[in-house]
Amino acid sequence: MTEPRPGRDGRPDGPWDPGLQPERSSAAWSRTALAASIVAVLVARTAPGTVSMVVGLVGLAVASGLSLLASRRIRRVLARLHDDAPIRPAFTEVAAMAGLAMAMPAITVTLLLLG
Amino acid sequence: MSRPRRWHRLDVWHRWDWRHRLLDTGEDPDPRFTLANERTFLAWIRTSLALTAGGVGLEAFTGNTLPPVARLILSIVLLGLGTMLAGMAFTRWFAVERAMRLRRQLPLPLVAPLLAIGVALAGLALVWLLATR
Repeated sequence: MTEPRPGRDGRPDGPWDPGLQPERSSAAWSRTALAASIVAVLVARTAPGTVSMVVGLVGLAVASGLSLLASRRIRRVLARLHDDAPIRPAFTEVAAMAGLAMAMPAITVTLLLLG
Repeated sequence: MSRPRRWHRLDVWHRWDWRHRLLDTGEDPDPRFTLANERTFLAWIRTSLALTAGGVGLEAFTGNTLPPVARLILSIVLLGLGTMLAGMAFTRWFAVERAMRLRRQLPLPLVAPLLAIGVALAGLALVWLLATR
């Protein structure tokens, strides 16, 4: 692990991180949001009913929103890193994504058992 | 290194804000480790989503290839695993971030072997069901 070399006005001279961590994280968020969208569409098709359709649509909306939130966050992260400042863990995005991934199967199980 | 702590002004809010259980301990880790922890969380979430897709797909798209009861049980197992795994991903993300801030050893991924066994058993059950129908 090499520390970034300080350049003019204390900023790293050259690439901040040759490991491309922000870019990989950004791609991981998009990939996961895309997978969540696909699962939401599948959930909407599980049982032909209003509830699963609503769950699917809400899931789709949340996944799209998370995709936007995450991309905004990565831009913020990049700015902080270029300023050599610490970053905050992505509390909101992580909690929302975990909630979505928990709610979709949990609601589907309930629907299957009731139907 | 200092972090802006605007929210500290609101004491009441502070007590209820779960994020402080993390931010008030230890010191900021290398940002790269925070990002790596985030990606590990996302990888677990995708695993959970794959299980959910499996459970939903089994129920919605297999038609009459499987006996209805077996199909229902298998989907419920897969969907249950999916729910559990997403919850685990979150608690693990939190625990790892905390361990990094406190410079402690990272918690072991205890669910990994359980998941491997669960997925293998579900696959074998599916093979057996399809072979003996």
